[in-house]
Amino acid sequence: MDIETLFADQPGMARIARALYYLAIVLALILMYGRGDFSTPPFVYQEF
Amino acid sequence: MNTGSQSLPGAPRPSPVLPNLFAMASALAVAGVAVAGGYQWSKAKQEKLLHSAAPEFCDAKLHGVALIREALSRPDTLVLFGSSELIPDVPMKGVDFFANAPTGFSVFPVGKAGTTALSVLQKLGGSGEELAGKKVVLSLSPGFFQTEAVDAKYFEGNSSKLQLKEFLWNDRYSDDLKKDVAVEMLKFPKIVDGDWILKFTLQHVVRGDAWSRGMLYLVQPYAALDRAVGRLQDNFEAAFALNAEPEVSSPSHFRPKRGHVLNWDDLFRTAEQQSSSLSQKAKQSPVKVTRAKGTWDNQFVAKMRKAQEWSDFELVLRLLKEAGAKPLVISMPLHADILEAQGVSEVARMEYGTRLQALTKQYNAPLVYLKDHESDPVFFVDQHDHIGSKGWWYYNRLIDDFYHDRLSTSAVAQQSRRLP
Repeated sequence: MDIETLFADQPGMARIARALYYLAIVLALILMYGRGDFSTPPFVYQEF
Repeated sequence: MNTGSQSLPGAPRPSPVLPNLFAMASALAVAGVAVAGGYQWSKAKQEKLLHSAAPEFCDAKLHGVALIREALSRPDTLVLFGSSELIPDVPMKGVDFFANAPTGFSVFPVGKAGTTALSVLQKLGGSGEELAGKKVVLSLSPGFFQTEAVDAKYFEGNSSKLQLKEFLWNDRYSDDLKKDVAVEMLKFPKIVDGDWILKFTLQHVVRGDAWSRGMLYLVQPYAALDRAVGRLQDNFEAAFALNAEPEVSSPSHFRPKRGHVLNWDDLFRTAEQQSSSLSQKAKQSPVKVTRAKGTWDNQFVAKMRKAQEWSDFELVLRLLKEAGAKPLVISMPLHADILEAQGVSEVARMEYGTRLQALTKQYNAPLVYLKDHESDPVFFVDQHDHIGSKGWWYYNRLIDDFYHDRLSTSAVAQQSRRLP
């Protein structure tokens, strides 16, 4: 079942649902890749 | 196949492309507004809580660019680049001493254990335009100048891809400087692991011929986008790191005291007491004499002359000059007692100060080498390059004089100028 079928009688709702669907994808991508990784290779400092 | 359509066979069906494009554009617009809002929130957090981040040594501060740029942009903040001496919890440590801006500014230390000149270079190079015309203090650990090669693990553990990219793509810096820096960076392949654009940039900057310049021109748009994403991530990381901080140093609490002069003599007596107390607690083992006096001079001088840290530090000075920054270089003394026991006499030890003075003079960078204290038993907190309360007293006084443009009349700076 796709959005067209689900909202066959409500074209406005179909547009909103489709936009929300894409928004969810974009937000998921931002959450997955939005945070930077500033870690470095570990090293041991023995002079303390 | 269920198309969900009620149209008759053969009749033209509405294209699904347009509704999808419209939905995608709407989603991107909403996401764009959310990211822009998040960016504003992160900048506001940085502005509000920068002073809370001063004593912290999180990845966002050490390997990002946002917090260092924010600190450089503030007239009430002086950035101090150093190494492991910034970490131990010692009374009168610079960041704590200036925390409430007793004379009108606070200190923002940047660096952690093993931060050699190449790492400092990345941090400065990633500072962008904020470095122009700004005062910065560099604290030197003489220990780094006593080994021929930079410890790869130290450098890799302090390296930042974003800072390096920001430097390499900054038009302010000359091709010659970028090439010399890139040559050094490529000696440590681990620092470009998993980042093809950084590796590609370094390799083509090193080649520097017409073909490489053309290739760099071609990838410039991608590299710009890559850095933009990196900066955005960096801003969010900085804000998340600061978000955990209590708002003790928010603008309403942080009130720099203008025109206030400290009683440095009283502070000196306190620092000496604290240093003596620390020294007693440390219970350092006595230095074992391994060679007769002066028998290791030649070897010491030869090794020091070959140290890679010299050429790396010269790159830092070149960068500062090209950036138009105003640096103050402070070098802590050598450990005279340890070196004497290893057969290194004062004549050989003087070579360090002489070389340092010649190098900094070449770039008009003021240098304060605290050589007078190489035999002071309480200047350091241990037998490494970690200064104690007394050492910090000298640092703090110099930093205060430097910030207030009193370096030319500074008693501590004058004292060190007599010495090579």
